[in-house]
Amino acid sequence: VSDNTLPQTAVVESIVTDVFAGQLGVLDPPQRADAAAADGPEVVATISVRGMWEGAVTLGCTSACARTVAGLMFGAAAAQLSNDDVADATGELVNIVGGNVKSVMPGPSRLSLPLVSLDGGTAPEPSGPVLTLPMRWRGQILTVEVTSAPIGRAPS
Amino acid sequence: MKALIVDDSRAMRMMIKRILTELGFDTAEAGDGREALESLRTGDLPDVALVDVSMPVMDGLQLVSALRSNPDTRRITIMMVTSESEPAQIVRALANGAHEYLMKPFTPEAMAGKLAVLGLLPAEPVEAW
Repeated sequence: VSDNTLPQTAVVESIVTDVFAGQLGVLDPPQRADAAAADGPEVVATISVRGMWEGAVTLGCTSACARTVAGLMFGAAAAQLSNDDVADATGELVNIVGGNVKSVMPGPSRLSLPLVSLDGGTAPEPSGPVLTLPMRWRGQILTVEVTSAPIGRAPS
Repeated sequence: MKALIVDDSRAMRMMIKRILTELGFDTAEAGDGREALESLRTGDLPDVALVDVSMPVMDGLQLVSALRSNPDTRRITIMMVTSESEPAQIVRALANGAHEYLMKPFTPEAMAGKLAVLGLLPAEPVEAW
């Protein structure tokens, strides 16, 4: 890879699988899906990277999917969690995925703090190439996007 | 053994707390470096601090430097627990005084193994979760 390029799709897929299997301890991590979700995501979590490689990693999924992830992380029933809990867990998830994506791109670079929208917010408008990876998990589509932005134009 | 978990994510603190409790640790939590320093001023000193790197207010590297520069806290064992994987970050954390570095994602077994290396657990293999 070089500046302004994207990681390989298989690498991103492997990162997401490892995060779900390792950090969340699930035996059924997400698998690559053939098609994107029919509807836009209800929960969008984004983390930006600035430095030698500039870009962003975004996770988008349904509220039910995000709530299931949060339940695994908090060790609580999904229905017992507040929206703040769901935002916190989804933000940490994109932080871990983003950190691992950053590690396969040219460095040095720094991660931002994650931004999470629970009300159908949209990912930052890409200003460069985009890798879109729809993954299926427990009957839901989880979409991972990696955006490579020209230097100086990384999403804030 | 007492452990202080410093991470801005409550979800991550909860996951780490579950692992440490299973290993027999008493735990305390802080959401950033400044909160951690405040809790150390008012509470018992932990045997180990598990510290995230990227946090608002005061990040993990600043916290490590602050702990090392204070005679009251310089003996606390520090393990960075972070998704920051760059060699330069790891070197900086270790140079500042961290003892170990655990990358997210991690399994309970990986965390237990690092704690064992630090002499905070029996060196025997930890049974699978």
